[in-house]
Amino acid sequence: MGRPRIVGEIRKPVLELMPPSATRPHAWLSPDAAKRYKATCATRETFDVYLSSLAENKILEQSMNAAPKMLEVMGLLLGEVRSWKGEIYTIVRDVGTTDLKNSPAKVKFDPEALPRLFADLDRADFDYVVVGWYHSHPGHTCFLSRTDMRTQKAMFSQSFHCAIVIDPLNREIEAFKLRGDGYIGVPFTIVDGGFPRMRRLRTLGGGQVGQALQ
Amino acid sequence: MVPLPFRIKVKNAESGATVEMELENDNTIDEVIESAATFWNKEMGAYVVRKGKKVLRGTMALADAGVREDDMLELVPDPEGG
Repeated sequence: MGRPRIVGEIRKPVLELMPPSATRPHAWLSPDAAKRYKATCATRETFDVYLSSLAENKILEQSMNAAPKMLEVMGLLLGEVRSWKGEIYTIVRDVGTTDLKNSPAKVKFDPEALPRLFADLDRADFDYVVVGWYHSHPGHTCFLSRTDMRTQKAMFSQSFHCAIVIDPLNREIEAFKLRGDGYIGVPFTIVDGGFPRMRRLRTLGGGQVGQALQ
Repeated sequence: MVPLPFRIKVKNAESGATVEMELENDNTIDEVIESAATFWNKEMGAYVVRKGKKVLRGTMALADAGVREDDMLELVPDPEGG
């Protein structure tokens, strides 16, 4: 019996497209996140993460529903990777989740309920990339724990990958990315309307075909 | 008799990249996950692999799991939060 052999790879291109301009801050930004938001508006053209109001509402609703029992919730962020003027940014259009094995301090997908997660992925009406994950810290504020960091490093280590953490009891939300051996909070914004469709495709280097993701 | 190799595609959900993989019917799901995870420099245990809405698990041979020529499998991250 031979081992499986990989005979080729097709990488997904990064779209060069101006980010949405009609955006707003999340109402639950922590003081630090609010500072990052204001600084980004003043000095940059691009936020790291653009979260659709559809995705935001689903995350909020799921975390609020589990908050009375102090249970963590979790899901995958479904979106796209784009660039503008040399900066990579992340679009989160929707989320995918399912029943969970959860407690006030741990959360995982219930292995028996994975088909429901897959149904969410199949319902996405775009060619999604899992651009990160979200989970809640009910009453514990927003940060990445040791367990969260293991997940982030193992599965979401590309520059566009993010982790959204929400605390529905303290009414806080933050977005994080890996940086060096640790992590940093990154500016994100909410998009109420739709996202612009692709007009053209090019590499960050200026060619005609998109830059490949690892 | 020498088994005929066949090809499938495996998509990495967290990058959108797809590999074409050549295998035999008696290869296992674990071998598919291991090959793809190694190629993309990922931890094998951090993912589940799906065909449509079905999770494909472990030591099951591809033929027994119903994997056929030209099928598209997807490697989906299985995170843990704390």
